[in-house]
Amino acid sequence: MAEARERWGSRSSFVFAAVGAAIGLGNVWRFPYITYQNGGGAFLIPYLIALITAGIPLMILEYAIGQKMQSSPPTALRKIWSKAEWIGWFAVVLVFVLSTYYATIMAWCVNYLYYSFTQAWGTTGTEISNFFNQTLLDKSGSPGILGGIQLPVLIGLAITWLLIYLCLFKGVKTLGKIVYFTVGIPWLILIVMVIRGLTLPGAINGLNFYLTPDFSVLLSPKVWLAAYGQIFFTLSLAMGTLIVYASYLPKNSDIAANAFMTSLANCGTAFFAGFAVFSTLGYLAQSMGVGVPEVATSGLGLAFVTYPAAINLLPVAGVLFGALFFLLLLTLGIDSAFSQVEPVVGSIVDKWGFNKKWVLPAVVGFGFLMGIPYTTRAGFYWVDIMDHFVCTYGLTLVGLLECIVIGYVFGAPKVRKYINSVSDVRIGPWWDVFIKIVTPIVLGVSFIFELITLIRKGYGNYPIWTAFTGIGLIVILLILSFILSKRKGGNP
Amino acid sequence: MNGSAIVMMIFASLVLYGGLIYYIVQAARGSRLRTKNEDE
Repeated sequence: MAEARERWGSRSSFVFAAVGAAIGLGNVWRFPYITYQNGGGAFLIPYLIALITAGIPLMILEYAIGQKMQSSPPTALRKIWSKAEWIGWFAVVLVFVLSTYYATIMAWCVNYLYYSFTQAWGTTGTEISNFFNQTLLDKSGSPGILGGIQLPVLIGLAITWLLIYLCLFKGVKTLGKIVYFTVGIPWLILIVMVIRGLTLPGAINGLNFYLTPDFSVLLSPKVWLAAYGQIFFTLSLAMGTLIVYASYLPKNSDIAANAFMTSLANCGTAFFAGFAVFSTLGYLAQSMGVGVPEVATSGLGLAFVTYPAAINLLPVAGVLFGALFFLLLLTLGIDSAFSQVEPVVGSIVDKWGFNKKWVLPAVVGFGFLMGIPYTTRAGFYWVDIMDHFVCTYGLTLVGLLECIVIGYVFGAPKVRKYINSVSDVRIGPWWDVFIKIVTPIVLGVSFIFELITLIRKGYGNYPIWTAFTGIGLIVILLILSFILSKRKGGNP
Repeated sequence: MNGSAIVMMIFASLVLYGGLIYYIVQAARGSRLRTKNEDE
């Protein structure tokens, strides 16, 4: 007799887990900068429209697939349409690749948390930049020159994968308790950091740059694409995470309100994080006697160069705030990291019926091994390249295919009927329109636009062969997905 | 902060946090709080 499916301990456990999966490093280091770069406060209009017309509908769709089919992505999609299993596998293999480089970024955070106690990154801007690029990563100068393994990064990677294992090995019920901490702690730290940031001189100037609207940008298609792109990636859509998380809910659980809560909590956190980031940038700019645009940056530059510089200049408790900032990144990232592993484990267990007790350490061990190339001196470049190809092309394609399968093959009204039969908040026919027309068009346009840009300019300043490697990887993962879908499963 | 930045801050806060509170209340009052499967 088949084992009963694991269940969340409560509805809030599920919502916190989904919120934790969605809230990641991008909420702190990407959203505020994208907002500033795309018209400040005016960007919030396309951002919220994208949330309502694509983010929430797609999240409802993924919750519905997982919950109705009570399976992880490949099996769930096979139950919907026998020819669609490969789409589920494509999401799973993509998220596995994503988890290997995401864990490397977490490894850098682990190192910086350690360094924050002594502020080992130095004092001047050049020292801080050199500390990240040379002391920690010792960048080789080209993705083609791997160089040796950076031991501190490797140790950080091992710690990260150990943390992922410890969070997942007790099963979904325990995970449901862990997420209260991995979501609650970053929220508390963010509150402290916003209060600290707002009380610094120059903070208001920073916030003006963050939120002053420039409504003329609303006519630019690039701004709208940026808004839809940000919404798509921030909510952990198309990764299989939301499907597998929802599959641990009973079939009669609410879907619509859960999706609204998750997505609004995620976007609310990103918006709030902007106050912590830009108030601190305002202070940094004032302290250095430069304008905010000169210090405003995003991604790794913000986390590992700009923010440490700001921490150095804090009048009191710099060490405490340094440690808090990197603890924030670590706790924000860890629940996203384990949410990327769970679909892989769940999909293998669901298809072949293996014991989760053995599948999890195997996946964690394999993930660690696959992450080792990122700990080399060329690791930084490969994290960037892989991220671009996996997210921009791979995940966008999965999202597009999900909409087509549900919208046109299975039938959006049929899914909506199920959603409304279990949800307190009713979903109208607007959902069908967003799933069948709006979201696929936006994802399709974004995919084609990025592909044309890649063909014309390549990616970044990297040699052209890296673009072929990236596209080659996506093609190999597609073939692998087909092969996995054709393999005979152990579970009926 | 300048006036237009404050307006945008209030607008986004109302949509995001107002919406979040609304759905939390809906969920708390709703009948879909069950965590056990009906067929269990």
